[in-house]
Amino acid sequence: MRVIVVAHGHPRLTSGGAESAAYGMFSHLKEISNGSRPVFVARTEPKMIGHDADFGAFRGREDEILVSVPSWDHFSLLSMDYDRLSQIITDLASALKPDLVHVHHYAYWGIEALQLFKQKGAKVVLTLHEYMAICHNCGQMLKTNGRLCSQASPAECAQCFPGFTSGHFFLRERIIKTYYFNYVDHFISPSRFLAERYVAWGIAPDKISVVENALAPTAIATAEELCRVNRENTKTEMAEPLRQREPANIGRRVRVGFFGQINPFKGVDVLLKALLLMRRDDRDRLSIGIHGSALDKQDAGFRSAILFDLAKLKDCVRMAGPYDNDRVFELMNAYDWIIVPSIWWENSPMVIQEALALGKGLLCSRIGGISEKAAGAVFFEPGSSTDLAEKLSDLPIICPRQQTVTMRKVARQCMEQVVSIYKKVLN
Amino acid sequence: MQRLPNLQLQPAGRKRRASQMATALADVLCDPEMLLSKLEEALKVRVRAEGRAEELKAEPRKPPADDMALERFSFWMARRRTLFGLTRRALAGRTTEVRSLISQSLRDHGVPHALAIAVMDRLSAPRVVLGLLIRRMLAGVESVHGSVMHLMQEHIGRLKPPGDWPPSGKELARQLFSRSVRKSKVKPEWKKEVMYAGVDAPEISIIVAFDCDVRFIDAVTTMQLVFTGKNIEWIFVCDDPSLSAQIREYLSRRRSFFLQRTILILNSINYGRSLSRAIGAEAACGEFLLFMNSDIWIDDCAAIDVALQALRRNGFGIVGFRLLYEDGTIQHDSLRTKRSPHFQDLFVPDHLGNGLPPQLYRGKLVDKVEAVTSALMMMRRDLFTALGGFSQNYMHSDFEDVDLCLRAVQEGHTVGLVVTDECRHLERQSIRLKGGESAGDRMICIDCLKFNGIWGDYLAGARTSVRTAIDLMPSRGPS
Repeated sequence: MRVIVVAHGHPRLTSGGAESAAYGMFSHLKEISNGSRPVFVARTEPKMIGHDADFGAFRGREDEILVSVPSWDHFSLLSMDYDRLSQIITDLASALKPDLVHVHHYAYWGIEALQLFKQKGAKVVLTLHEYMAICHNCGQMLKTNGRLCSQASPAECAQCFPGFTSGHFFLRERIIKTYYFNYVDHFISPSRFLAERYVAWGIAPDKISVVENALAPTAIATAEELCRVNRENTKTEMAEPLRQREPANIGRRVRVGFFGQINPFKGVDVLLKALLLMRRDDRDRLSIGIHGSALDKQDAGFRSAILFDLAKLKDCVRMAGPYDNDRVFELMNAYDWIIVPSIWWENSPMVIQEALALGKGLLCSRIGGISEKAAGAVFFEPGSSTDLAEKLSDLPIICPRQQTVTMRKVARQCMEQVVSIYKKVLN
Repeated sequence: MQRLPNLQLQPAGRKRRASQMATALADVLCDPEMLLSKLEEALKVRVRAEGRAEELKAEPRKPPADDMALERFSFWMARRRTLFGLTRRALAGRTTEVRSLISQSLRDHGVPHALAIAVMDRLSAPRVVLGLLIRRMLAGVESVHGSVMHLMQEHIGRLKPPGDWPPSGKELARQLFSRSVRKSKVKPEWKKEVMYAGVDAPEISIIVAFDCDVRFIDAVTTMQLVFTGKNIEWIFVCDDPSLSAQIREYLSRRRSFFLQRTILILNSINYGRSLSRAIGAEAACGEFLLFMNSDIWIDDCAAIDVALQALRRNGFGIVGFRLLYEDGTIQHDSLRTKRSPHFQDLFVPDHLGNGLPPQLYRGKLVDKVEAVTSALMMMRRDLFTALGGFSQNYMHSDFEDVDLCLRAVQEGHTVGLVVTDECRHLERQSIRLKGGESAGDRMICIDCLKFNGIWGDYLAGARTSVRTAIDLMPSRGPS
């Protein structure tokens, strides 16, 4: 069985949970494959390839292919140059001869990629990472006025985007659902919540399975090593179990870390507003680190609001900037709590798995797939700065003991599910 | 086919709608920028012409006194306030007052009595004439002043048969508008490009005209997947030169996607939907023509098969389709002409069941009806040619299909409707993006006047001989 894993970016070149999930799956497939050698195919900008060809090898690795695809239409999700995309996929298929193509995203590729891979004789499995097929607002199901959207309809979508008509939205849905999603043999959703949304939208329940994203084996190994070191330090330096009243912790601030892209959907602004609402002495107990990129890509209003709040909170908030995915565990290990203040219907944020792998405390908004992923977390109402301020005020230095999840076991279970889906589809 | 207000179904909105229509018509006459720019343009042309004449030092020719008087009168007619005042009175049914004002003005401007009588007779159907003036102004063909002069001189020069002079107002209106029923004298210029050759002898030619919203091309091209395995050809007619490059680029980058013969036609200027369809029909090879608006979506081609069978075996001349809005309610379930109190009791096409759930309307698989929309209409190519195609008389697309159906019925053909839930019409989606419906409403008013100039008598006098949908199918209507 020859599998190619298709992603809309390489996690070493672009930051994003879907890219990491795709690469994680590819790495696991490499480990469990019996000589069939899966291939990771990631779309990238032409400049990242380094030469003029449409294809390139990431760092010279023969099983990690970079592809420069033509641009796509963000509304219709269709490629702007179908003929060139067709040629690229024909070349890929003839070179790799895949039995199955596991597409982790059609973004940037164009949704016709599903049709083209299918036409080349491969079975197509698609992992859904957000609601892009349903919602034009970056697939977030968040109205442009900031309110959460529970169900899309052409007339309501046209209210969010006055530049498009309800007819445009009707056709968008018809084209995606009736035609291009028909080329998919099986869908995978990392969370039950997201699967339910897509079933309500029109995907047959028997065509979609819930399978968690697996962390890459190297990431799991790093996390396990850090956990081992943490345990040793705990045994040698500190009394077990740690408590807030322990002498070593007196005077120390509660360390809370944010990891992810800084955009209006991830809720960094909610976090900053909550900190501003807190009393000064409560806030002085906290040390917040914000790790993430993409602030410079946001609109001026959002950017200036964030910078304005950050300037007022410089005594307790540190903007750490972008981070390398390879160092995420190392960075995360410096915090007591990891916060996920998202205001959209999150699917299955990788940051939750990473925090769980390190046994960190989780402070999450109760929304979308987060509720089912972050067992034992401290929850607050999504978008509610006041609720978050209350939760932050009561936050202990050491979180209530998290059950350290063995991510290797989780990954193994995920891959068993994925392989069984592959077999089912191929048969 | 665009929808006219369904007043019977929405009694609460009647007054508001009538008021909107009146306001829309007033807008065109009150738009100082448009009118002034047209008048300025006309004056500039005149000044340039006079300047050239001076340069050539030609012998200045003094126009005849009658022409001078008529020109002064036409300048008076071309004034915004005049046109507005006259049209307002005409639409309110105060025809006598209009005639009186025009008569007074003719006298004031020194138009000789004999000529004044001819002009008065020319303007005896003021709504029609004023409508034509507005149309010319909107179409940018020539200035209002030029139009008035043209009408007057054309009338005096050409419609002066010794026997029945002066003709009656109705006869004038008939002559005026029956002229434009004939095909345009302008030979359209267009370029044809075969995007994908496909089969040589397609059975059906699907003609899609694009004129304002290029985004619908995604759906129209995707619909080739709906027709997989069918022996058809697609003819995309781009009637908006500003979109030509975009559409051509889009299609030329999608050649490997096409499954059926695909042809692109690029009009050199915007010819309107009727002429664009005629151009498409000229390029078509299929035995049958399927006229499709770009905002049509077909879920399943079974409805097309039914229509094909109706045309082949059941003796129908023209077949339309039940069309649904995106929310699943009826957009089109056949048309019938009826008098509308909001159009001065003129005949307008009425959409049956518009906006209501389709379950309320039962019917056969193919029903006989009075008329169907051209948004999705199928007929034999030879019949289309024999009927002379869609009338190029109308500015908007609310009347041309009824006009064609009435002509087909006159020739003894039957019009049918395929009752299906598979076809959608996302109508009037682009008008909102273009800034509201007022422009459309203005054009509907004018087209309505034209339609009644052509078909008013027929529909009023020979109404009993034109079987309506309800007459034909007692079962149609709310169940």
